[in-house]
Amino acid sequence: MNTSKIKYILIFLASLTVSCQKEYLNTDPEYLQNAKNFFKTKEDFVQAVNGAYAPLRPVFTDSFWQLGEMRSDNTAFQYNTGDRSALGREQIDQFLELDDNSFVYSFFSNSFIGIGRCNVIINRYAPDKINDENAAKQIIGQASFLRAYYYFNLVQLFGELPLVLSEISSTSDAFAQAKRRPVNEVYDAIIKDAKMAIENLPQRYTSANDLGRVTSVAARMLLAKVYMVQKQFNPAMEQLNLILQSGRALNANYSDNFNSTAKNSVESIFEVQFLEGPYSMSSNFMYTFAPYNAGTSITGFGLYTGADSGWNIPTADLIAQYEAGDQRLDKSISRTFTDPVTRQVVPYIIKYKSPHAVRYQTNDNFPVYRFADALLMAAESLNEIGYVTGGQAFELLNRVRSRAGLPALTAQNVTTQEAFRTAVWHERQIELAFENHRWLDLLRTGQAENVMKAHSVREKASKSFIPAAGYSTIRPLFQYPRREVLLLE
Amino acid sequence: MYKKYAAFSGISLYGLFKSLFMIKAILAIILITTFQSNAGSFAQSKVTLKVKDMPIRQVFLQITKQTGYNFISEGAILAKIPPVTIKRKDCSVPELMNAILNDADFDIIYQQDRTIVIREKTSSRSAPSQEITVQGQVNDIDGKPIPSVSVTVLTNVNVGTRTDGNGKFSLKVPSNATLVFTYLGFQRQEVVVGAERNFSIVLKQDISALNEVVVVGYGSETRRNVIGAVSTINQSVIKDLPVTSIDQKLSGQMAGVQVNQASGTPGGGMVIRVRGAGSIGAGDDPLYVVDGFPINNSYDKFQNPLSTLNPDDIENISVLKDAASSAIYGSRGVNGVILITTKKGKSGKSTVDFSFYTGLQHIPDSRTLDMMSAEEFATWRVEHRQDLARFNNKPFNINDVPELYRNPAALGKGVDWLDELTRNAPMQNYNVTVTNGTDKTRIMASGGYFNQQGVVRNTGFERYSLRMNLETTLAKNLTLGLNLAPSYTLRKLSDSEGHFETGVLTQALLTTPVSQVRLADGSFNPIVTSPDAFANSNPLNVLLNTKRQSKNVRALVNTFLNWQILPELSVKTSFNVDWQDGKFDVFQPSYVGAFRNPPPQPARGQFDSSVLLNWLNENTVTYVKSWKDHHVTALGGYTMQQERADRNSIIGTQYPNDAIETINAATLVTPGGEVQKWKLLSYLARVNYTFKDKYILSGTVRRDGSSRFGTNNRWGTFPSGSIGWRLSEEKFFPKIPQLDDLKLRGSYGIAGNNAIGNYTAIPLIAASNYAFGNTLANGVILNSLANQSLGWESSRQLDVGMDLSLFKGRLNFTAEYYTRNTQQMLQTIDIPISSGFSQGITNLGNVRNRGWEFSLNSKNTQGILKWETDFNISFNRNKVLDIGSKQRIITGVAGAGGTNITMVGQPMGLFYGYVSEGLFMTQEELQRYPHINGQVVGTVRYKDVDGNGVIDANDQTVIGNPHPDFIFGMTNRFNYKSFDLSVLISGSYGAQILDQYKQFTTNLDGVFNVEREVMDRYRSPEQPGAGILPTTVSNTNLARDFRPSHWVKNGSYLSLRNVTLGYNFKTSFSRSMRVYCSGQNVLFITSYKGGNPEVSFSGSNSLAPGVNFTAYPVAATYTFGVNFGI
Repeated sequence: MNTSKIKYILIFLASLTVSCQKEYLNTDPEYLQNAKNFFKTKEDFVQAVNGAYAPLRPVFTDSFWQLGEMRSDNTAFQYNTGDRSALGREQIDQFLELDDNSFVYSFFSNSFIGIGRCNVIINRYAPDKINDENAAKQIIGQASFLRAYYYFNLVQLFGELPLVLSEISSTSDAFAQAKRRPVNEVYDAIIKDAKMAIENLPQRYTSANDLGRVTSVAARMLLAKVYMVQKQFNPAMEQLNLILQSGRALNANYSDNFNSTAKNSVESIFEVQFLEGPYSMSSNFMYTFAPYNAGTSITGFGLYTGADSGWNIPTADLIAQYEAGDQRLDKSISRTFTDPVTRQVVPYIIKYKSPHAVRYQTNDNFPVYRFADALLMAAESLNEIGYVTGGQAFELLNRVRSRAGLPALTAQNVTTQEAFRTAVWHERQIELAFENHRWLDLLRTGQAENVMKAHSVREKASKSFIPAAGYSTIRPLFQYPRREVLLLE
Repeated sequence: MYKKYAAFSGISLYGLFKSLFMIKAILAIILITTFQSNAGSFAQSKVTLKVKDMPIRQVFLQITKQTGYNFISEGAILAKIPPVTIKRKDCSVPELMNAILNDADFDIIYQQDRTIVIREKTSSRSAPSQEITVQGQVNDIDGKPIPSVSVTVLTNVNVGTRTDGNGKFSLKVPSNATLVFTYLGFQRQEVVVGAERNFSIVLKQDISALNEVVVVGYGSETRRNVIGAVSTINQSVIKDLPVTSIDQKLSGQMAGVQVNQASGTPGGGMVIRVRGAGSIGAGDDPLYVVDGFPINNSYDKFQNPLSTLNPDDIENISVLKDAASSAIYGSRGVNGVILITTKKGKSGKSTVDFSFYTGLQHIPDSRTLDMMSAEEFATWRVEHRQDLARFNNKPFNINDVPELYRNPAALGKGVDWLDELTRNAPMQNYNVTVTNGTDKTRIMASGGYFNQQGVVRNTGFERYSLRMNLETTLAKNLTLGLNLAPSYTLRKLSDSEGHFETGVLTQALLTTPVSQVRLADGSFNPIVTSPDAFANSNPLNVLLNTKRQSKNVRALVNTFLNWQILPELSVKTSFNVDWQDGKFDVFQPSYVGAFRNPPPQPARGQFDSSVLLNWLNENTVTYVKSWKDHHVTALGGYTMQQERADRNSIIGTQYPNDAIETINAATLVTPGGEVQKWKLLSYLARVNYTFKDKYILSGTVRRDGSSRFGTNNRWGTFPSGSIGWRLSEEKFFPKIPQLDDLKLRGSYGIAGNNAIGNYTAIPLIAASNYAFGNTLANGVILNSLANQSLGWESSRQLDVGMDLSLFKGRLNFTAEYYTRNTQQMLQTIDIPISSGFSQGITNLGNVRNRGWEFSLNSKNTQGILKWETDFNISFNRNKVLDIGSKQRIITGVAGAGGTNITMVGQPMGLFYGYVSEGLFMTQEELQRYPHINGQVVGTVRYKDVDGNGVIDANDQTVIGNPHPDFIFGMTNRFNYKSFDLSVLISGSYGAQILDQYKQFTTNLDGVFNVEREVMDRYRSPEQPGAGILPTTVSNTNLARDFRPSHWVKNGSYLSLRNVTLGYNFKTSFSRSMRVYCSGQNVLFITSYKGGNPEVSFSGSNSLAPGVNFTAYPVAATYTFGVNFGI
């Protein structure tokens, strides 16, 4: 073999090595879309918006009822001697939760996951690619609403927050934007988003397949609530008046608001959508809220043994608040179950109880805003603007009462602004019970400390298991989650 | 026991019968191959001689006639020998010569060319000598010239030369001189000059340890010239270990290689760490290379890809430990490389080897937890009510006790659920290996069948494997190789470990003993409960009637073509394929139910299928050149590899009934699937240079391009260099006769890690749906915070070592020091959730491993009793130097919260929890120390670590260390006449174990059965118990949820890993025949009570090591085996 031959061989081998290198290493996943090639069409953006709604489900099933109801005087829990594994929930009820409470964190994290998804849409929003003016407006409107909604819950419950309004591009960016901002900055951003949503969203969707999407009416509710928190009742009333004229109305029957076969009714302004079937999108509130010894008697399919059930149990305080003849009592609470061990009646919530086909998979939506809420907000705002004997505020409040089978309040029995205020707050507690309004209302109206102190005295008298330290500090805010504090240390 | 034995033998016979079919098939292969065997290659020279007073020349003539040996001697010498009288039958030539000649006066030299030289001893000579010139040729046994052979004169070291490039030499020597030929790796040879002037010398390979051929990355090297940190192990040492896969055989064998059996699941993986764990986020498993083919392997508790390889096919294993050795594997070498070489056929040899073993696996009582009997459980429930009454200042009323528990003694032992779920299980292995070879073609073929039934019922592992390794010379200088290794494995698995929600063994521990396994009609008791206890499914029913089967067909194919273009230059191209087809089939019928969720529950099923194709093309050029004192080997190469795995999964629920188990019967199905692909493109080069056998230099570089990284950071370069100095060859080095070889070596290099997900750098879109108008609305999200600038993790390693060989290779000692820094670690870090993501992947941090390794091989005795000892010990210290902006990483095992913490300045994955300082014994103590609101006397006193007067999550701290101070292994091998005995001991010292399972097994609520230690809990000031476990009347959740430091246990152990006693028969019908008995994992000498001291629930996760959350028990295996060769 001579050297020239060897040279040829080596040249041949070398040529093998340099051919087609660049292309070879490009490896796109086949089973998932690459974000690089996404956000190109209307459908892409619509799907991204749908994805931004999705965190609402865990927010409502996992945690909001603990922060919104159990935290308040409305509900507590059934003490489970055998399974103490959900102590964290009990602690939320008793103001004993630690800063690493997993249920509180679930609310916090799912809300921010929702905000993150909105940021991606808003960041990449490109009306020219969507190429459909109405669709484009709906996309930006919904994303703005959802971001405002998630933030509004968070700021009321946690106070100062990181204010992230753009898509996070790297881990260092995530750290850079995690600093907590003053509450007023967060509210400014919420108001801006809500206005953006009002501007872009329709008052009603024409297609049945869009039923459940947020509307300008929902955005006005959100904005009105923000103003009411800020005690700006005139701007609130401005929004509420438009809602009152939006074509929404009360359902004839109170229970129709919670009917899983008649979702998104005329009274509904915004509700979290659940869907039974093979989609992993069902709700399971009736299982969680059932007494834990109920077996199959309530759900029909039987409960897991242990600490999955027996939560959000209506308190004696709440039941006592129902006026005689209030039809809402038996439409909200069942008092027919007697615990086989303690032989005591355990009341439980039936708003989210419905027939269903598969164990732990119910079809119940969860109401967020409904017209009755708007009526009561308007009544309250008008009263705060100025008490008018027998004025419009009375009319609005009485629409809600009359549906419940209760007599109208008149200038004879509600004679002062203060008395009307108390009456509308009371009505809110009953009408909106178990819809995660109570604790936020107590905070907004400044009643939290007094109501909860009085409540705790009565609770401790009847429940020996409440630790001495329970309710000793009525904290208006939840502690900022430990994980987030540690990450920024 | 009798019953179990009967069952065992029945199954064994069945297995034997089944394997007969297999053997038949294999015999067919043997018949084809043996006919080609090259018989009678070399006859032993035996002489029969019966002479009386015969002159010596005549005697020699007789011998020459019988053997063909020629005699060379000076005439005068022969004249001095008197006539010979001798009578011998079938006597070897040397024996005969010694009988004829007096060895005090004569030297007898047996030369390779069948020549026997006889000369007078120097001492008995008198004649002065004169200078003559001799010349000659030195070849190896294959007739190839050997250059650089040292040629010297025995009595005068100043006279000498070396052979030239063609193996020729010429030298002036005294006429009576004896020439000495020495060359590295060959046996020394002496030749008397005598009348001869022209010599043809054949040097034989030296087979001592120093000349053992060590397989290294892309080549091989003699042990003497290895200057990287490479440990090797040969098949002969590990052949009898009755284990499922080859990685299990490495346990205790090599310094710096920690092999832990984290779970006893048959066919499951081993956790292997080469020089500690260095990576926080990208995996610490070493790279496995089978016959030059890097195969895809990562730790999996249930499925170990190595278990598809038949351990009987393995010839040897090398572990590349330092960066200088592993950098040739570039981006995959960071955690060490395990090179597995399978057996090959040899020319001129035809062999058939059968091996068979059968045995029994057994769980010793010392490896299971001590749970309460029915009587003890009932007593505990009674006492609980007594304590509660006292706590509430009420009189105890027996009527508060459930009727069933009022007379505990009547309940007896009750059900021992763990005992019900486990068994003594058989294990068997059959293998036949055939080798054959001619000058042209060499072949090795084997077939194996392995069946291991699990000690947990309804689990087991079966393997059918075939292999054919073929090498053939197509034309002059052109060699073709082909290895084919198909296998079929069948696993019966159980979801046995971990949280009680799923782990059936955990359920067995926790299920009340006051119950029955079966109902009166013999069917399973479907709902197991007793007062206070949860109503549970029957764990035995769940275990036996749940199908979890995995079937895997795998074909490993290696082909290569080697062209020796010139004596110095060769080109090799290879193409390798790994094809795997897997199916995983699950069916849980309606009547088994689940823990806390008794039956009936709708049946559920799952069917997964996956197809994986991995191929590799490698092209290398090797150049070898020697001149004068220089020797150079250079390697250059180019490789391409890619893998594609298609996986589909269907989960079926809502089966209408249990009649049909296949997935089509499910009413609801949830599909899933993915396609995983990666590609790798590499250039590699290595140069080795040796000067005078004294100085050895080596440099390696590999450049890898990986599809896994962002376009900006695709390519990484991994260089390394090493140097060796054979001190013992230096002139100034004192000539110590006992010292054969002393070598110092050092290396430094960079290896990489790309073990992250395939698409991590690409932001992906995933589904996240919602509903509108009561119908599904498809939704999508960005599923991760992508990092386009993600780059390589690299590890810089310095290694300094010394190799010492003493007493003609009888004692070999290696000492090594290394320090390895893993930098720019690929890790998934927690990020603020305000970003919308909880985690993101980035390059961050620095972990250092440094340590010492010592290994020793000693041939203690070499007479009739041969005794050899291998010993190794390694000390590794792991330290996190940097984890970026974070102060700590808290990691948990699934279902148990944050059990481990990783912090700067500490080793990775320390145990994390609360410091328990005993119990509050008095009200005064309770007042004095910080406590949790509501705590009462008799509950655990946790340490207020941050000293703020409050016990809360901030009081969690480091409570233990899972890393051993040192690990060691020792093998002693004895041979006495026909007996052989080997004893392998291995151990670990200083590591701790976190008994996280105590969260359940010492749960004080009364809902579970508990460990017997609960009897020693706090009951009252008068009965404070052992002062560790608290009262049952209050705050029972604290004892369970606030992970106390008393769950951390000492995990040091000394294990009798294997004992094998064999006997070799000499038979007329076999080349070799051996029977042996072997015991594997026979004994763990340890204070640890939680079972397996190598346990690790998270297996390969280096951030959460050493957590015991219950595990499949590691059985002791006793086998009997036969090896038979013809």
